[in-house]
Amino acid sequence: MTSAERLCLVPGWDKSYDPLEHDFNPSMRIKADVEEVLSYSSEVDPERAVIITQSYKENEGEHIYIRRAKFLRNVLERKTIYIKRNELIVGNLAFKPLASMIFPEFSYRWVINEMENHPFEERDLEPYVIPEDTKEKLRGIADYWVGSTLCDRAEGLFPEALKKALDASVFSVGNYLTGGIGHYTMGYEKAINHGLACVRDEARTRMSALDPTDPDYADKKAFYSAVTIVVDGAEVYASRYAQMAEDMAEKESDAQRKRELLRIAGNSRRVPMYPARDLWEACQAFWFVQVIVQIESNGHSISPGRLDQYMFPFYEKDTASGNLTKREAQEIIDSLWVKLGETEKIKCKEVTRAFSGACKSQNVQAGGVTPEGKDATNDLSYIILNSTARTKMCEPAMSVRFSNKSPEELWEKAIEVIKVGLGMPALYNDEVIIPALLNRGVELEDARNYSIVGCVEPHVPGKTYGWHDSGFFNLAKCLELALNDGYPMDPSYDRNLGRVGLPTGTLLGMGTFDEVLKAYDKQVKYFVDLIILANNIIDRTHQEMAPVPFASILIDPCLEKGLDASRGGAKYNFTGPQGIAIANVADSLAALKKYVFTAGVLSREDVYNALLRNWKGCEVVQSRLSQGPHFGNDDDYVDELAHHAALAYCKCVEKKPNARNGIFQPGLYPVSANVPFGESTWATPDGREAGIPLADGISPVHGRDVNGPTAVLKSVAKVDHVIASNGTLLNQKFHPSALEGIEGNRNFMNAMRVYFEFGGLHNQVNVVSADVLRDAQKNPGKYANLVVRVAGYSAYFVRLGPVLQNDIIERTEFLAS
Amino acid sequence: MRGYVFDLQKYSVHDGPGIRTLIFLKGCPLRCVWCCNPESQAIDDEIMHYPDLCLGVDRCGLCLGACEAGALLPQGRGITLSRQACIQCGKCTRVCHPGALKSTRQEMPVEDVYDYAIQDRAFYRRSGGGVTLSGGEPLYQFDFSLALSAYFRSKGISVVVETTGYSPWEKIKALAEHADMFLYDIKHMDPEMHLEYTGVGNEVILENIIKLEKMGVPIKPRVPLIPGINDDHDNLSRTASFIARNLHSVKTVGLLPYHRLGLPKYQQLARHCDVSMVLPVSRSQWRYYDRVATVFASQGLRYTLGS
Repeated sequence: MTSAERLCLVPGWDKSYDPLEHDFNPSMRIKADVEEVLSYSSEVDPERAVIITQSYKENEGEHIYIRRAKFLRNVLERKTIYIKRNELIVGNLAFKPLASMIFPEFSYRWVINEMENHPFEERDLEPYVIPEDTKEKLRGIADYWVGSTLCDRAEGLFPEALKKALDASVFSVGNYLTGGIGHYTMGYEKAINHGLACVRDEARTRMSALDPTDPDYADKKAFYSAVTIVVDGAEVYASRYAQMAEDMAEKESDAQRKRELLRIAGNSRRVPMYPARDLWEACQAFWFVQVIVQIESNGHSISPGRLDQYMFPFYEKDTASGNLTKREAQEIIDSLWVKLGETEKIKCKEVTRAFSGACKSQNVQAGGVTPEGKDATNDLSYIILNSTARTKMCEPAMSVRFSNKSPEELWEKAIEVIKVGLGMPALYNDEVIIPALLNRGVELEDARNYSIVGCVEPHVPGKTYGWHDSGFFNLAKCLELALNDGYPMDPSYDRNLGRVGLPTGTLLGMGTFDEVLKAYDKQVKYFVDLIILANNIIDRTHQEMAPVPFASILIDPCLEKGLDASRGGAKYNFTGPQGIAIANVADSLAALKKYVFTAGVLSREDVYNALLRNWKGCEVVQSRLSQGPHFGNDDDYVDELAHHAALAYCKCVEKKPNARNGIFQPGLYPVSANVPFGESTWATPDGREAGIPLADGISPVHGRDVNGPTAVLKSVAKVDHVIASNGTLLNQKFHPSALEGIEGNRNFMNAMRVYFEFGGLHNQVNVVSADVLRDAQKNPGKYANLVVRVAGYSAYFVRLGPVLQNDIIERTEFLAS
Repeated sequence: MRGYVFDLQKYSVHDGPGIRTLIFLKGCPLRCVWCCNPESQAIDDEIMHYPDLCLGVDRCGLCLGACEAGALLPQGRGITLSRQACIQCGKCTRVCHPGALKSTRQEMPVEDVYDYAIQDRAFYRRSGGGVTLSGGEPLYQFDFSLALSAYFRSKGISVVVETTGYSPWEKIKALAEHADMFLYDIKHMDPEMHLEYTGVGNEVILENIIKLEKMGVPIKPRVPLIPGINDDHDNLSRTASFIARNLHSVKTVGLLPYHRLGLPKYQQLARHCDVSMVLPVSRSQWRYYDRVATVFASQGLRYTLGS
C-alpha cells in the first residue's frame, strides 16, 4: 500500500505523537463515540434468552456440549447487530449499547420475581429499563426455566448446615449460582495469530484420531463437535458484520467514513477466522472473541489481560512500516476501549449489592515482566493507559504491573492517569504475585506472564480456569458466633432454629484472650469447610449443565485433551473464596485483648452485655473499646492480630482439593460485599454498631487510620499477601493536595515502592474529585479518613464544616483542571 | 530530654524534600493573626473541645467527675468548659474516650518522638525525606529541638527546621549545625506591619536569615500570602529584592497561599480569630498568582506554590 492510498485514521495529526506524553484529549470521533454510548440507558435485552430457550427445546436429548454449542451458534446467527457511526472496531454483545442480556439457564426465578414484584426501573442500585414487549418475551419462557436452572439444581443439593450458614450470612456463594463463571483471560493470541479456522481444523483432526475404546470417547467426540459448531457460529457472526459494513459503505456519502467501513468489512471477512495481519485486524479479532465468549456464558471479569504484550508485534510492525502512525494506533486502541465500555451485566438484586457497578470488570494490564523475566513495558503500555484517561469510561478495568525493573516513566504515566480521578489504574506488585503463584504450583514462565482478572485476581492467561470469585466469607460473623456459643447475637434470632456455628461458649466463659482466639479459629475452620462444600457442589453443577466450549478453545490444553474448561480441561484449576473484614476482626480482638484481658478496665460481662444491646445504654463501653489500637496505624499490637485473623482463614482454605482436580486458594478482597455483610453482622467489639458496613478488603476500618497513608501501607503489608494468592485489595483515598505536581508524583511513587518492597500486592488509589467531595459532604461516614494536606497543616475533610469544605472543593476543582 | 509536642504527622509532602514526618512543637513567640495552628501558640496545655463528639452527660458524664477545678458544667446534653476556671490539668481528657475533650500538649521524650518517626524510615530513604521540626516555633523549645535534631542526625535521618527566625542568633546557629535545611518565613518587610500582625518586629528575623545564609545552610524562604496584609506589590517586591540582595545561595522561594482551615480550631479553643473575614484567593485566579510570581521572577528567583 503506498502512502497516498493509505487510509488516514486521524487526518491532520502530526507524526510526532509521543505516547509517553500525557495527552488525554481524545479525537472528535472518540468523544462522539463515548457520548453516543453514554446516551443509552441500561436496558434488559431478551434476545439471547428467547433464542437459547428455543434452541434448548430443539436439542433436548443431545449431549450438553452440543446443546451449548448449538444455542451459541443460533444466537450468533440471529442476534441483533449494529455498527455505530464512529466506531473502528465492530461487534456487539447486547442489542444496544449498555444493554444486558439475560442468561436463563443459570437462574431465572429472580428475573421473573424482580420483573413482577420489584421493578428493575426502581432499583436503587443499577436500575434497568425493561419495555413491555421485553417483559412479555421473558414471561413466555418462564415455564421452561423456573425450577430447572443450574441454581435450582445446585441449591437442591445443599445440606441443612450449609443453608443455615448462608441464611446467617456467614458467607455467600451467589455469584456462581446465578451466573456463569467467567474470570479468565483466554489465550487471545491463538485466535489473533492463527485464526479460529485453524482451531476448527485441529478439532476435526483430533476427533478423527480418537480411540473408540477410550472410555471418554463419546464425551471427547461431543466436545470436538461442539468446537466446530461454535467456530462455525463465529464465522457467521463476523461475516454478518462484513455484510453490514459493505451495505453501509454503499450508502455512505462521507468519503473518509466510506473507506473506514470498507476496511471494517475487510477486517471482518478476515478475522477471527484467519491470522490478523496488522494492529487493526488484531484488535478486531480480539473483540469478536471477547464478545462471543461473553454471549456463551455471562461470566463476570473475562479479562483481556496483557493486551500491551500480545498486540505489540502488530504495533511494532505497523509503525515501522508506516502502515500506522503512533497516533493512529492510539486511535484504534481508544476505539477498542469504547467497545469494552459498551458492555454491562445485569445481576439479581442481592448479587448487585455484593458486586456494585454494572461493569463487567474486563481487566487489562500494562507493564510487568516477560515470561523470561525482562521488563515488558513498551509503547503500547503507555498507549493503553492513555486510552483509559481519554475515554474515561468505567471499563475496561485498567491495571499496571510493576516489577523492580519497571521504568519510572511507567510510574509517572500510571500516576498521571490516577489523577484523572477514575480510581484507575490499580497497581500490582510482580515481586509478590509471582512467588504467590509459584507457591500454588504454577511454572515460573507462566507465573511471570500472569494477568489480573476481575478485581485483583492473579491468573495465568490462556491456561487457567480459576473460579476466582467463588464466594465471600465474613470473618466478622465468625467472631460474632465465636463470642456467642455459635448463635447469632441478633436478639431477633430464633434459637429454636439451633446453632449456626460450633458451640464455643460465650465471651462470659472465656478466661483468657487465647480462648477468644481459639474460638474464632474454630468457627473459621468450620465454615471454611462449608463454603468449600458449597463451591464444590456448584462446580459439579456447572460441569453438568453449563460447559463453555467456546472459551475452552482458548484455554489450554482443553483442545488437546478433548475436555471442557468447566470440567478440568485447563492446565491450572483453582477455586478462590475471599475473606472479608480483617480490619474489624483485628480491631475487635485488639480491643478485647487490651481492655478486657490485659488492663482489665472492662469486664467480660460489660462487653458481652453491651454487644447484645448493640451498645444501647452502654455508650461508654463502646467509646472505650473504640479507642484502639486500630489496624492501619503501623501498630504491631493490632497488626499482629490482623495477620492472625487473615492467616487463620487462608490456612484453612489453601490447598483443599476442588472439583476440577485443582486446589482452593484464598483471597482477601470484598468487591462490595462488605456492605451487605455489614448489614447482617451484629455489633462487633471494635465499637462498630450492628448493620454498619464492614471494612473493605484489607483496608483499615473507615476513619480509624489516623496516622496517614504510610502507616496504612505498613500495616497492610504486615498481612501475608503471598498466601492470599487469589488477590488482596487495598483501597486508599488521596486528596489531590498530596499529589500535586512532579514532587507529588515522586513522593507517591516512592510510597508505593516501599509498600511493594514490604510485600503489598495491590493498591487501588482514588484521587478524589470535587464531585466525590460533594458526596463526602453528604455522606461523611464514607470519607472519614480523607485528609487534606497543605504546608504545615492537615485536616480531615469531613470535620471541616461546609464553608471550609467548599474552599477545598474549589481548590480540588482547580487541581484537576 | 523531654519536650512538648502538639502533633506528629506522617506523609507530609509540602514541608521539605521527599516524604517527611512533621514534628509539631508547642509554643511560639509570635501571634500571627492568620495562624492556622492556634493550639501551637501557648507553651501551656490548652483543652480543645469538640462538642459533636460528646456522648452526652446522660450517657457518660465522666469528665464532670474528673474535673477538680470546677471548670466543667453540664449544658443541655453536653458540657461547657470555663476557660477561666480551667487549670489545664488534663484529667478530663483522660476519661473522655470519644475525644470530645482533648489535650493539645503531649510531653514526650526525644526517644519516643524518634520511635514514632522512625517507623517511616523506609519511606524517607526512598524519597530523600526525613523529619521536619515545625510548630509553633521549634526554637521556642530550643533544648528539645536541639536534642531532637542531634538525635535524628546521629541516626542518619535528615532534619529540616521550619522557623519564624525569631530567636537569639546563638540558638539558631546551634540548631543549624544539626539541620539539613531551613524553611524560613518572611512574613512582612515592614517592621511596623510585622509588629502589628505578628506581635513582634522583623529586625531580628531578617538579621538572622542573613547570618544563617552566610553559614552555608540551605534555606528556602517562605512567604505566606495573606490577602490585604502582605500580598501587596510593594511588600512582595521588597521581599524579593531583600532575598536577591542578601541571600545569594537562595534560588527558590516558597509561596504559601492563605487558607482558613484553622478556623475550627479557634472555636474549639474558644478563641477569636481576627482574620476570620479574610477570604482565601482561589487558585483558579491565576492572575493573582501570576502577579506574585512575576515579582519574584523579576529578581531571578524561582518559586513553588504551596510548599
